[in-house]
Amino acid sequence: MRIADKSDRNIAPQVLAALLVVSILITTAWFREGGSGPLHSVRAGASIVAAPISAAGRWVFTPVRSVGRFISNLNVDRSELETLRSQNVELRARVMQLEEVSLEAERLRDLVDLKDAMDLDSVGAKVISASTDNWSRTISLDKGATDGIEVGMPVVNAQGLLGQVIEVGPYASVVRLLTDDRSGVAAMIQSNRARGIVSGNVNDQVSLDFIGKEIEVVPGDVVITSGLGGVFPKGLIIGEVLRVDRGSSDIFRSIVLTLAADVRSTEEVLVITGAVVEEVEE
Amino acid sequence: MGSRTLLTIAISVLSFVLQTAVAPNIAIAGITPNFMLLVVVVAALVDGPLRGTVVGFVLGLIFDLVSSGPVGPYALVFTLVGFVAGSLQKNMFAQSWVIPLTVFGLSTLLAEVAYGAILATLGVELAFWSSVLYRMIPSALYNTALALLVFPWITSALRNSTRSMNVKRRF
Repeated sequence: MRIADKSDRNIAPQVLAALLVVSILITTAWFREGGSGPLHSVRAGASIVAAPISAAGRWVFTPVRSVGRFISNLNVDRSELETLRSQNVELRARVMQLEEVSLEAERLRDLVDLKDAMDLDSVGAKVISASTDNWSRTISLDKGATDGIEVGMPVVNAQGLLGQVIEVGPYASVVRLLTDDRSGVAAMIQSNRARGIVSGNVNDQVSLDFIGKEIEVVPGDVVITSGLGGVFPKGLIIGEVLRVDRGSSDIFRSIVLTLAADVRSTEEVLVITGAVVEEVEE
Repeated sequence: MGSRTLLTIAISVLSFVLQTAVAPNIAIAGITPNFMLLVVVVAALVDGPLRGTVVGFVLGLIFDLVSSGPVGPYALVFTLVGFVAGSLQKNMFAQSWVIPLTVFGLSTLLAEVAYGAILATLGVELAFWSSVLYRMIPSALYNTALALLVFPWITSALRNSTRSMNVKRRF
């Protein structure tokens, strides 16, 4: 271990200034260049490198949580009992594995049912990681441009809407979740058809904005996509009203929602790649 | 390439793996620990402002590339944190655990505030005080707790550095 040389300390401010300028130039270039610019291409390359590492981490953590630890310290002298206990541990582990497969099959069946029910053109994908920073609420999927996924496509699971694709690499893509404070979805209350915008907040709550105070809203009201804007198909379930606060606005209500889909623990999703067939035919 | 540089590269690669594979899985209430920032601060405290600045820039840029925000702001923030933490190195005393941990906490807070300020400058709408309450402070606390894990190592490093400085002065 060494103490920094005096010369190091002298040139450090100059290096700092140079690297700050480079950082600002990179940030500026990021916003100036198009989606296919060199920096975006570098990020797509980085996602190829990071995807298997993220997937490995998720693979390691999920089974560890779900299966738990079955192996205990058996301190028995009789060999027969030891064998039976060993078999018991193996069988319990096997049962847990089968249970996990069964649960996955059930979730996939739900997704297929949803796909059939809504007549959507879609691609199934697995979640391989979540946000690495505190300023975004995103998930990464194991499908990308080679599977037909494009920026802007809606993402759902069997329970409801999850978010929208914001970045696509060749073999992976990033989805901005509804809980992200930069998300926004045209929505309406199912019972009275009042239209508003569903958006995420810093505190991970999701709100329904721009609903006038003259409209009656009660907890439990179901909120669905309105189809306005043409990004999200009409009728996807977003969630239900959790509470209606007084709010600071004289015109609009302050409405907090509970999302139908559990955005934190979802494992399989559908990316809606095409419009609803009926609408296309029209 | 010196052994210290190789060690820094190895630890940086490890922090990248931890950030992408482990950090999202141990997030608490949406708050993700930042292993890469920890490495920047450790490098700065042990080796001074020059290495802190360079490591900060490189790891910040990599962090930008694997996160989902714009590319560039974390490079700027980590560079700044590396320089500031490295400048404190001369005044650090490893006898107390309070000072290094405080530096870790304040570094995270500085990074988060600076990143929020950059996003706001770039036109991203932010609820500033809510961000302070729900993201910046919890993140600083989580990273400080994480720093407890590396504290024995950094204490040992700082003590050795201080000792060698005293020996140099004596001769």
